[in-house]
Amino acid sequence: MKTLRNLSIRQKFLITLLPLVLATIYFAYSEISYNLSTSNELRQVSSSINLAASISNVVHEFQRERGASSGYLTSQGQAFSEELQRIRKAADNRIDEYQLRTTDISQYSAYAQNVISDQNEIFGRLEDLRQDVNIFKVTAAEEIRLFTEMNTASINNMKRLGLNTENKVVYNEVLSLVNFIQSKERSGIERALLTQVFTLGHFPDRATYRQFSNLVSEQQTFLREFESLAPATWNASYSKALETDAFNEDVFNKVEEARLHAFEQDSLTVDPNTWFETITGKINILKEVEDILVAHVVDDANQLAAQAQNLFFVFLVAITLLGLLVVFLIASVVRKIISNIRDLEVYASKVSKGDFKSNINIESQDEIGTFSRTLTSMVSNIQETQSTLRNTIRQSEVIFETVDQGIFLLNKRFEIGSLYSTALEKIFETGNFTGENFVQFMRPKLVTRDLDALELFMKHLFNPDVKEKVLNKLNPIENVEIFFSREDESLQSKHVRITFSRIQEGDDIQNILVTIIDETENVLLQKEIEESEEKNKQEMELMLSILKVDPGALGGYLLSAQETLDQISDRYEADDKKNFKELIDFTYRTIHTLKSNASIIDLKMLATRFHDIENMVAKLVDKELIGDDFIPVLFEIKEIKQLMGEMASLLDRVLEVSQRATENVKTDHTDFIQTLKRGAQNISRDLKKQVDLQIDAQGQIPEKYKIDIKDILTQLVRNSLVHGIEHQDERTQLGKPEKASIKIEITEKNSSLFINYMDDGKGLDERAIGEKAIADNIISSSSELSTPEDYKKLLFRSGFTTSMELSHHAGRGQGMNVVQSLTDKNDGSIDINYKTGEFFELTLQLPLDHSNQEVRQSA
Amino acid sequence: MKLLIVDDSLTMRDIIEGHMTNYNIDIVGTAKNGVEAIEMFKDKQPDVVTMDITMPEMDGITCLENMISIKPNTKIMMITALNDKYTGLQAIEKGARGFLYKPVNPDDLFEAFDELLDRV
Repeated sequence: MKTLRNLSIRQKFLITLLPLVLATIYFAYSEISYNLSTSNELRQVSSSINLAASISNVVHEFQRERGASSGYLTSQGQAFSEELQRIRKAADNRIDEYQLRTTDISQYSAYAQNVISDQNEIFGRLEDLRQDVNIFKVTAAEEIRLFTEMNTASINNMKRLGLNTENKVVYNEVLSLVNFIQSKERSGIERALLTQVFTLGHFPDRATYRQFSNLVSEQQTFLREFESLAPATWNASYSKALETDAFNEDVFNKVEEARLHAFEQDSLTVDPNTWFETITGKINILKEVEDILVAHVVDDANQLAAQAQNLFFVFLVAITLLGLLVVFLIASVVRKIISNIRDLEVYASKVSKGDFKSNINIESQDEIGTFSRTLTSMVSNIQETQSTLRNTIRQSEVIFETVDQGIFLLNKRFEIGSLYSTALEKIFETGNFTGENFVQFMRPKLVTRDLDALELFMKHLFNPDVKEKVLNKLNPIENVEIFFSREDESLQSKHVRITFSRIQEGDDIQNILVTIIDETENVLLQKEIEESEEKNKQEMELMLSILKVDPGALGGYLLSAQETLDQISDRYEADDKKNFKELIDFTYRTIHTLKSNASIIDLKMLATRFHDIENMVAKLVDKELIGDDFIPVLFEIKEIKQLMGEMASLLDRVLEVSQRATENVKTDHTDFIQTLKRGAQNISRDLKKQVDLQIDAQGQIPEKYKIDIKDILTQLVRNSLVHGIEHQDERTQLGKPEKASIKIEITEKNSSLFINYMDDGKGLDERAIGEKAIADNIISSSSELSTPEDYKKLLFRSGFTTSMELSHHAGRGQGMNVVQSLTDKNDGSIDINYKTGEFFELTLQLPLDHSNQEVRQSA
Repeated sequence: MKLLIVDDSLTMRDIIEGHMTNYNIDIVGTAKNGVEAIEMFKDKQPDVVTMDITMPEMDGITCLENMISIKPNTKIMMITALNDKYTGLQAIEKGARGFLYKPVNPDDLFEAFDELLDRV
């Protein structure tokens, strides 16, 4: 069946029609050959009938010869001799005619040919019989019998020849004819018999009479048969023939009489010759009728043969034409169908390739036509649908191109779908997300813990047992900073917000909708806000500290600090990058002072910043320095200078305001003293050491010294409080007043400014100094220290301190060193006096330039 | 519907208990660590459990894992201050189905319970 299915339409048609065609051909052939054989057969029948007719002619003559021979024999050769010869000759002629017909034996059927050979055998007996008659070897009765046998057999052969047909018409006609001939034959026998009887004048015996009666009844029977079987025309011919004048009724009447009076002696008065002639006359007439009838039969057979032949031809032609017509029609139909189908196929193929403009036009109303119309309407539906679809896709494309967030779908294998918003590419600065596994994609962008959390999270996103609301509280990448490297290998960071939504139908979660929002701007904005708030806070602090602090002191401080800081950067620039160590030391000392001073005037913020810078520099002290190391420090210094600049301008504005408000002009001295006192108070409070600071400023302090003197005194106060002055308890034990005392005297003498500083602390602890010096690797053993000069020198050495404590006020041994350098800077000199356990005194001498100083007598 | 409250902080237990008395549920007990919680769980057979994560003796994750293996359809609500998402997700992985961050107010608590118990 499968092979049948896969054949082309043409082949299918061929295969299914083939049996039919073959059957048709077969039947047509059968019919045609039947007609042909019928035609042939009828021809043969015709020949056979003609031959039978010729046999009948012979039989006719034999009947005469039989009669004549009978008369001849009975009359012992006296009568019928001449007639016998004549009759024999006629018989021979008829036999010749017969022979002539049988020369071409092929025109006869096989059956006929058998009959012919039988007939030939019968004719073969003739000569012997004739001889026997000639020599009177046979009796009349025997001769009659023999001739009768021959005739009967011949008639039988005629029957065989004529009846060998399937044609009913011919058959009946032949049968009728045969009956007629047999009736005639009986007449012949009757002729012979009665000739004998009339010659004798009586029936020889009963048997003869019975024979005669039989003959008569047989004749009647045969005639009746003939009449019943014969077609109407034949009866007519027969009747007509019997009405001829040649028909001598008289004789027959006499014969009839004779019959009735058969056994009466001498009753048979008919002359045998007359009888013979008469009966011969009748027989001749019968013969004529027979001939006519034979002609009829032959005609009919010929006609039928011709008909059959015609039929054969007609049939042949008709079948051929019909066959051709059918083949032509089928071929046309098939071709048309195939052509239509091909057209449909071409059309459908064009449509499937997207060509919707092509047409198909099949006008037929059959199934293919209907199909083509249905197909056309289907195509136009598809077109519409396509256009709608295209429109929808376009809309969603527009949405996806325009929308600001990265949007995409994930399937159950966490793979990114083929449709995603353009913004996604912008956020990650890469394309080709389709099919990417989301977790793998995020792997390089997250830390391990977040990645593990993400894997768990994603797993449960698809778990319908866990509610979406609950899970979204545990979104590990709700806010995440992602890093990625750009093409120029720089590292880029963005802040994104990633949220997840389930897409579910009933109980099945098919997809997750992921939204990624780039929040970098927001985050940075937030940072800026925070920074600016921080800055504001700082500025507020600044403002407050300014308002808190004595403006004079603050102003002076800021000015000198800025100048000092400039010194650092100047030094750095001037330096040929050789003397870093000195630079660092200088920086350290300077920063230290600035820090202390800031502390004294209670600028906590500045003090803290200076402290940070101090730490930064301290790290560089012991290092192998290169130029670049200094740069961060410079940077910080610049920053702090800027800050101080801002403070200064703020201060100016504040001062403007306050100056307008008050007429409070403090003397420099009072400012100065107040500042020192306040500073001392601060430190004493912090260190929990009570101190009484007395300042007696007799001399005028020139402007140029003010700051430095302040610094120096500040340092001294600090040192005293941190290093020199003991705790309350210790003082009490030593019999000293609880409150320590610090006395400062400023006097003018011999164009020099003398500043005398004295505290009642423990002075210098020589042993502690010595131990510390050894510990700090400044000296190798205390043997190097013998005179007070040595101890003093140590005191002023950079990096030396006896206090272990690090604090804002003093923590490193820079204190005295600073004093030294400040004094040196101003061309002054320092003298120290001490008594261990009792007091510490320092005298500072600074030269006075009279031309420049302002002399004022106020205190 | 029976509720068991598990938290190592007494204050927290009281707060949760206090809120949940106003909710349509039966509070059958409180526990201050995982071990106690399991005992009470076996004893009282609660349907719902609130679970802290950071607890002594046995932490919340291990405890909930045990409870789930005893009675698999127990509804467990994590109430924790722990901001670590990974730990929270591990709780979900082990079978917790509710989640809240401390501090809890009654509205959030009731809403979360409605979700957990499908009382929407």
